[in-house]
Amino acid sequence: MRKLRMLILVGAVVCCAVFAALALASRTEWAGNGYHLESGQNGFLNHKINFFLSEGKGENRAVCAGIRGVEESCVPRGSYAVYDLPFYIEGEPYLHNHDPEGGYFHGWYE
Amino acid sequence: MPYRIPPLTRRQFYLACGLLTLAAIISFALMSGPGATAKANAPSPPSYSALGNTEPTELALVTPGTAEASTLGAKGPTFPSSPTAGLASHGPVVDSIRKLPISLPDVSAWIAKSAEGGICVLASRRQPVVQGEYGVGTSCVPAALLDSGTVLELRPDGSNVGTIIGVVPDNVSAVRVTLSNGTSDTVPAGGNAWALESDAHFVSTESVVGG
Repeated sequence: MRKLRMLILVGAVVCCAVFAALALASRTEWAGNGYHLESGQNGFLNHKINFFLSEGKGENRAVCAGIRGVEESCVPRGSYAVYDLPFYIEGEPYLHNHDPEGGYFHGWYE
Repeated sequence: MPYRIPPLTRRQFYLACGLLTLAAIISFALMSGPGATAKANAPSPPSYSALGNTEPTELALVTPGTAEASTLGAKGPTFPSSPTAGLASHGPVVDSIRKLPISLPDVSAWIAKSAEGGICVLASRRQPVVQGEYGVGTSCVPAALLDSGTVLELRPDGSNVGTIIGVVPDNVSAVRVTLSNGTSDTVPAGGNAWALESDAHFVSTESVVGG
């Protein structure tokens, strides 16, 4: 009986971990690890994907995150920029360095 | 053989009592000193009354990718009802989203608490950017930046004109916005919100406190 309870507990923990991993895996970081943009420069994914949300963050830099051909959302230093739609589209996420200085950026899509 | 503690002499007893009393007085003085007073009088975090707005948000909450989201999303702006992977850690707290009063006719804006204890501004156009697409832009800052509020610029791809929207605490009456063309503009704030349209990008903002 005790062993059965233990097995159920371990199973529940494994299930939770799998679901958490799946949930986190749906967010893909496409720009990071030294992704550098000069002031005013755009950075594109360079191929189309199915996604509904574009997100960006500068390393102490103002940033825009957008969907090419649609719109972009620009924020100051310290903020996350997010632009989202209610449905998936086939498109391209991009970042824009909105800061007067060059710097490093992170970009995600979901 | 067990060690026995010798009984205190009267002199030692009085000395111990004196030391204990002195320690109690010093502890009391330290605990009720300026440090404790400063802690009690620490400034309260800036308030955003708009978070208490009760009017309808006019922002449908949906699960992205569902048929319902597509139907509602073709009619007006929507937002994910359950935080997605990224938004869960630093995005808006969905239950706290409230409509903002802004003066621009073509844009709707909202305020929300951020998941990091800070503040967010959300905005969307009242007309679709591309046919049937009402995207929502979001800018959130953590609790450490509650004093300054936050700002968001929405700009359709290829357009020269962008919309700049911000949220500020209750005590801010106006915001000085420095733009990328070298000019600056002072925009009145009301109901925690301010907004302007410009063909230049925002560079920085500075709050004007009081009247």
